[in-house]
Amino acid sequence: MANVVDLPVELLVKILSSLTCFQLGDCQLICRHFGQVIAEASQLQYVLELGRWKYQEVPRSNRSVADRLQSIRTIQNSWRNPQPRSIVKKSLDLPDISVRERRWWTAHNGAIVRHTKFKPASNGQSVTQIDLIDVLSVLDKPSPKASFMLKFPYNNFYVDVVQGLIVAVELERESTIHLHLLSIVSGGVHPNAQRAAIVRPRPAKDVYMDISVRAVVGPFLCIDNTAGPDSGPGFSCVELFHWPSGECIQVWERQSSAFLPSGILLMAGTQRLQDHLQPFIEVWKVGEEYTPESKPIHVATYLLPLLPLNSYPGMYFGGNTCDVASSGTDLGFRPSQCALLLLNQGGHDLIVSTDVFKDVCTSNADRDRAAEPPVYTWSEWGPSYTRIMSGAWGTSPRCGYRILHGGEIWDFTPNMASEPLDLAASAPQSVCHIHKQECVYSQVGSAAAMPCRRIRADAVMGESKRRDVSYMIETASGPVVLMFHVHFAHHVPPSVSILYL
Amino acid sequence: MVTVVVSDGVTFTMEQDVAFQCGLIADFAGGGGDQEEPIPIQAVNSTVMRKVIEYCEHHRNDPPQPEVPEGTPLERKDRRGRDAWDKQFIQVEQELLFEIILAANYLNIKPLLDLGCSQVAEMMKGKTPAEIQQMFNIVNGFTADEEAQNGEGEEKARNLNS
Repeated sequence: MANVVDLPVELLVKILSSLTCFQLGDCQLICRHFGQVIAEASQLQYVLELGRWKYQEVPRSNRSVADRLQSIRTIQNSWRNPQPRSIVKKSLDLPDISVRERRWWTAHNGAIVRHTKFKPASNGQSVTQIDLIDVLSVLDKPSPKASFMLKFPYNNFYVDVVQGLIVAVELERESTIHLHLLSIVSGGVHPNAQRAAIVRPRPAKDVYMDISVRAVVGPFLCIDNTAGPDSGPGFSCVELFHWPSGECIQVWERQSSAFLPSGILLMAGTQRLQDHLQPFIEVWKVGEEYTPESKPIHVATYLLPLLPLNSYPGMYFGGNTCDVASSGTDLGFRPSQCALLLLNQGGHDLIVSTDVFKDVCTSNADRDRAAEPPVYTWSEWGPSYTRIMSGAWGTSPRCGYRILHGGEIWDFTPNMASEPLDLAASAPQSVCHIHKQECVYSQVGSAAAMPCRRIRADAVMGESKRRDVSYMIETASGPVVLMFHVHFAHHVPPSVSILYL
Repeated sequence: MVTVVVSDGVTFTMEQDVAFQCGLIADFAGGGGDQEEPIPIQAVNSTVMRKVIEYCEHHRNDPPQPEVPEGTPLERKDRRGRDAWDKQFIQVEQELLFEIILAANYLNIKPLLDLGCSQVAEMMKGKTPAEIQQMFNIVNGFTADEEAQNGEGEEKARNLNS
């Protein structure tokens, strides 16, 4: 007599694969044979894991089931145990200069840039300021990639590292902002740069202004400018520079941009549509042939819900557009996912993610030579899913960080020893709070907000009478928290803790 | 015309377009003209073969099914092709159902295999493990320890559900 247990395993798997995860969970209990079949079939395990973590299947994925199963397990395992993977402590050796004035650290794209201002020991003469810039990698073994002294006659600037180029943004001039382009290898003016700096106007000096250098691809440098509301139109914009010549090629009044290594520039903006705002994403192809007359190769609106007119749709592209290459004398990038985060006052974040770039690797050696990048079309990397989650932006206090990694949102809130630091108090602790918002994939077009679970991990990074500065950055191997420890006692050398999550 | 002989010696003769819905027969006949020799099909008996031929005759004029990527859940595939006739057709005794599935697998008739599998899945839906054991007459073979663990597992599953 034919029985269900007599069926070949592949037929049993076929039957079971049309069950939901809960039915499948029950089926494990029917008999030993069923249990074994389910345990060994990756497509059934995938259904179970999807259900267990309340994920829905990512539509149109071209990855194999086994591969997707592996990703779910990796992500979930890392959160079952929210302990940091490891903390590496490293002392930062500094030259023996007796008076230390100021120090900044910048973390960008997997690199640490340590910027130290020194005043040589005063001998009654007017002193010359020296800036030391170290570029460290935060990969497995933190080691200096480059270290050089700069002499800038400026009072206030910050340093950004983007793919082989150091951009020092000098803010304190009357009406202009200077972007100094330096080679990460030599610290000098980049050999391809025909000018030492890009000069752009700035709004009134007291207006809040934030410049973020998005990416350098071949000869192009993309900058997002965000200015305060009273700075007038035209300052919250995206600018595209041809950096060797220092020319600004185009200015878009858009909220945000992401420059993908293949020469594709994504831009997010909104337009008024009757009594709503319609968010859109523009896709531009930027290459040698690019001219200001070029048109976007695609404009996507269909994915994005209309917003009420009074909402403030802050849209930005986050995360995962660049990582650090693991070897070589230079810093490079590894294109991976790109995600768009749409923030709206209704308390929902919407992520449109494209994951086609995940496996594309570009040699960093070719970057300065502006090698012809591969060409992608929209259909190859079109948004593969949206994810709608409840939970308002701004869960992090002012100085927190939010990054998108692997399709998830990571919030990081450094909770530093309170200021002013009470040196007499006993051992204040530095604790950082790391939140990961876990949410549910939803099909494009599904408007319902899915429940999201929030996981929180706290890591005690250290305790002492010192001031810590923390960053959360993304590297190829995942989010990394950097915490710089600066002791007020000058004889204690500064150090950095690198928390591999 | 194609002739087949099944395990209990019964011979069936059918038109080529009916027979060729079975991947196995199509491969065997090689797409050539009429076969002189009956094709032996040892794994299938006459009762089951009658059902299979009934299915193939009903579907002889179906347009070819578009390729469905591997890993697509059965339900989604079914909704397209499963009409009332198919539903009626597959309402059979459990034993015959499994034999039809085995035959469809052996003869390589994909739509019939999908139909049979989804029917089994349908029967399992909404039933507890104990009910399924009873329905399919399965001895679970778990040890006492495993039973206890399963009890916990069920508890967890219920929590997950709620």
